[in-house]
Amino acid sequence: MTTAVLLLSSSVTFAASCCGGGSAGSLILPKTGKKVVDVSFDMEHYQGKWDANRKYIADPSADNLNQYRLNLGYGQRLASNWQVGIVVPYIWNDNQFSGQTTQSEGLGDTSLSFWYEAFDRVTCVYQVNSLADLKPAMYFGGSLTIPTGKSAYGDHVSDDYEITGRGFYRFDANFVIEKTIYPYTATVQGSYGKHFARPINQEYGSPVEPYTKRLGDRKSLSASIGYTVFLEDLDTITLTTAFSKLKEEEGHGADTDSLAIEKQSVALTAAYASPDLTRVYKLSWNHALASNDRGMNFPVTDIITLGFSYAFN
Amino acid sequence: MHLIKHIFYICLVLFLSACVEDLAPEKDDLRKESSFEIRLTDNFTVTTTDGESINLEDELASYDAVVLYFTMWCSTCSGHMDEIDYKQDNYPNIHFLMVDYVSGNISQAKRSQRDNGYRHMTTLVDNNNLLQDMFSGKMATTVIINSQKEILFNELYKNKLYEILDTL
Repeated sequence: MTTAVLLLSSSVTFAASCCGGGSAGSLILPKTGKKVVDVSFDMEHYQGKWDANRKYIADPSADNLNQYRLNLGYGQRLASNWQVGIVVPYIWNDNQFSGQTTQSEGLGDTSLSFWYEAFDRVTCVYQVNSLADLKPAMYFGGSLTIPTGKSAYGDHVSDDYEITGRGFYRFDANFVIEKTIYPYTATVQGSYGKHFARPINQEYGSPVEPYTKRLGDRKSLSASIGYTVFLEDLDTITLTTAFSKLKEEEGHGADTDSLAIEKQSVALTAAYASPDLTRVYKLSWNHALASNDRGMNFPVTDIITLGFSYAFN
Repeated sequence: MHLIKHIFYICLVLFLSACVEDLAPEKDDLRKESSFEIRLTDNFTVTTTDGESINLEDELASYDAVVLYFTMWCSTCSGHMDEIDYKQDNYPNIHFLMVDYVSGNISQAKRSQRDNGYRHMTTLVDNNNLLQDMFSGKMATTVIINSQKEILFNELYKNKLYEILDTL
């Protein structure tokens, strides 16, 4: 049924046009970069949930459920149009509910990604003089989620509040299409993911009759608009607003433990980029739309993300 | 910059080597032989959030079976309880009882029950861990006890619950 794992939510932290970026689960190097180190910290607060009837149910006021994630990322350019990356999260759960206080921590699910850049030079322009100036930056790639986190099916978890991972491998096909005509940037990014089936012989630490389970296919789509302000030294501040939709189909298994899930959210991001695009500082607020029909079987959360990336040119 | 790279690699190795989940899970049946035997349960009396006493033998005198569902009022529990709430009308001779094993006292359990929207479902307050100890209860543990006090099912919530109830 409903999964209480806050980490299902992914915060989209667009860095800034031409500066690289991507989402919390995958990194994108700027066109001029050879490698990038990215560190971000998510603070996610549970506000309630959407039930199976898409009805929003607020969290009881006495409850206080939080998850904190430190995401360490590294990206490496392999060729002029190819790059790979890894993001490893470390997760802290800090929950108060029904008079109880629980805390747990552990590695989250690791993400490996690769990207192909379907453009040869930076596509950001200051004005449009020809059709060629309208060409967007297009990235196509894939990412593999490795279940390094503590899931309901492993040895380390006895209830929902200790979970730091989903327990399933998943491969996502991803795309990002982005166009900057200063000072505006428009971006569309999406993904389609397939979970791999796995055997299960325990749940929350209790042995169960062995069965095979596969979570449903996962789709996400996000659209954003950004506005860039140039500062005195040609460093920039970019403000971005995004709308995201995430959907996962019903899973297949011996029980009813993975219903279809859905989430709609908006995000506001402010990013500062140095003139040479090597340093990017990000602050992002991701807000799940806490009203009826904006989600299903999913936690409603707010996520504040602080991030820093350094690209080596 | 080499220093940053090396620090990053060291952190990565430490993360990946510490407490990583089993990345190649197996199908082995981990259940003990004894878990396949049908056991009899002792009688018990537990108080509800409304202050009423529920006695197992009294319940079984009126119903074909009793179902206990252990809740900690989490999202997963809510999903299961919604489904129980939806389906329990199909089983008029079964008494479904929620078990709050985390709140520790009636007032807290009643508050959790009300705030989570389950005031209409009979909820037992397991404030001295009696039921938790009897049935090894944890989040989503579900127990079926028939009129002979046999424990027909004692596992985490799943569809098999209703398959068994259909046979009663």
